[in-house]
Amino acid sequence: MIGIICAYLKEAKPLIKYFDLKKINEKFSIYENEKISLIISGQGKLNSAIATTYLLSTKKISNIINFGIAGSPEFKIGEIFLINKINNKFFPDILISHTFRESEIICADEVKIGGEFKLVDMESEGFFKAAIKFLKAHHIYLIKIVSDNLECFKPDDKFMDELINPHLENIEKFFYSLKKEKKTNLSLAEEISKKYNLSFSQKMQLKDRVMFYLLNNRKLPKIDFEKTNRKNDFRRIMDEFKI
Amino acid sequence: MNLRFRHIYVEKRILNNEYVKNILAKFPKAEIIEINHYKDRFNPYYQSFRAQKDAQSLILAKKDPPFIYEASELIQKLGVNFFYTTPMLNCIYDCHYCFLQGMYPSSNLVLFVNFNDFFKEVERVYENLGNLFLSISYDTDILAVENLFGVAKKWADFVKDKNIKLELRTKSVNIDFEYQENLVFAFSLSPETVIERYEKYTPKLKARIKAIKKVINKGFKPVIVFDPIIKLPNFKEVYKDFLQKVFSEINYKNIESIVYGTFRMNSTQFKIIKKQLLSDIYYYPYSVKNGIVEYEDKEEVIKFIENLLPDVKKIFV
Repeated sequence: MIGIICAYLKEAKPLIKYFDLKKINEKFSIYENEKISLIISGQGKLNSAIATTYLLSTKKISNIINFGIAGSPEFKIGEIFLINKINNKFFPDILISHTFRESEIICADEVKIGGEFKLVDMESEGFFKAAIKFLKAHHIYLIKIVSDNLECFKPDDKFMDELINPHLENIEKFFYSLKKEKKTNLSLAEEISKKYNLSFSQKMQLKDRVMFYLLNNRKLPKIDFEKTNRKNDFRRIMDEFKI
Repeated sequence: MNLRFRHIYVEKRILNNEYVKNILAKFPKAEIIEINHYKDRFNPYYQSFRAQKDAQSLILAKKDPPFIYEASELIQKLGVNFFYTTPMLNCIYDCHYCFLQGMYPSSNLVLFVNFNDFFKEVERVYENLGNLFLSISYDTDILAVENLFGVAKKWADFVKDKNIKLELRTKSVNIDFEYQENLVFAFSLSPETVIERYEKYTPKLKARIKAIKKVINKGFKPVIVFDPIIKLPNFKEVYKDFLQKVFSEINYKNIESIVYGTFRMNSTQFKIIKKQLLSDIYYYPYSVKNGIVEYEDKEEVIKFIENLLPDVKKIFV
């Protein structure tokens, strides 16, 4: 599942509509379909970190994205960016090909109306620091759309629709390009260990051997003899899994 | 392999370095990201060595002391003042048996650009000892990126007219060097099956043999390295054919020595790598002696290999 953290409902609404996400009743405002779980965090680093932690602790998330708006003294309103550096010390690992521009971002504690930076928001650092407790950096992304050139303003739904809707197709493509961690199925070793009541150490040795077979595309032997005693049974099993 | 480096991280303190500017000019499409110190990018625990390996970034940095190190007991020391230096961290090749996977949190390539600081320190140690055997490819393959970075050439020029033997250990075929008495090429060779399965992005055996012949023709006496020897299920057959092929193409009288050893690894590194790399190398039966993982029947494997080696100086590691 892809996890999305938005600070405000206004930022999330275009995504909720596009991906047909349904609100589910939980402590946080969470919107979901089969592939996406989106949470509204509220403003600021701490809120973002709390919501990120909640989502990653309660859902099976393979990739997580902080999506939202950002201010910029130099970029055009409406431009979209994938973030490659936060506050000069955190580095999302962008290992996949994508069509967005990249930028660094400064995460501030309060609204900024000027300064020497490219992008500014109030959540990115909190989000990232929480997410790295659960996922490796190449499964953590930040997508930011420039909403203002550091003027104070209150965006309405219409403004947000116009800002975000043109990017939704590309955002969807990006979501589909994200990779999941591959997991090898070692259930056979678990089953055999259970059936013949193998010790922990025997089970680990058997798992290694099953893994060797899987990595070499070897046909796995059928183990179906009558259970005798653990030592003999284990020897017999390992004989079947010869290298 | 296609080295595109989509991201290049550069320490702010070297942004105006001419060498850095030249490297950056070779990658006009890369995202250039300024950093304070290479460790800010290289060290964080939340990276995946494995995931980064297929999309390596380049980090350009300035190395702080120490600049040279004494070689480990796990490799051959040849009874000389064996030192190594690290002009680069990590490697563009992706060998399943490489211990760097268990040593570093990141597989991004770090290139140190303050060459003169390295040279000054080597010069100091050299003046104290009178001679050195210096490897600049000890835990990387510096020749693999020679066409891009030209680091080995800088070192070759530095050691000219000094009693320093400069070892260039490599799997690459980038051997465009004029004859120089104190350059020691050490070519790592493996059977084609091993190359295909476990040495991703490296040149084929045929190309490596061709490179060895070329340096011999220039007057060099290279070292041939069979390390690590991988005990494949049909390893006897594979290594017999392999060694016959190598020495039918290369006259052993033209080589300096043979270095050989079976796969072995520090057990901590072994465990780390096993968790992240799906390779059958880590699922053979091993024994652990003094914290080193090695084949249970290592002696037998070595004996078999030794019987196939020609009559030339041999160094078992």
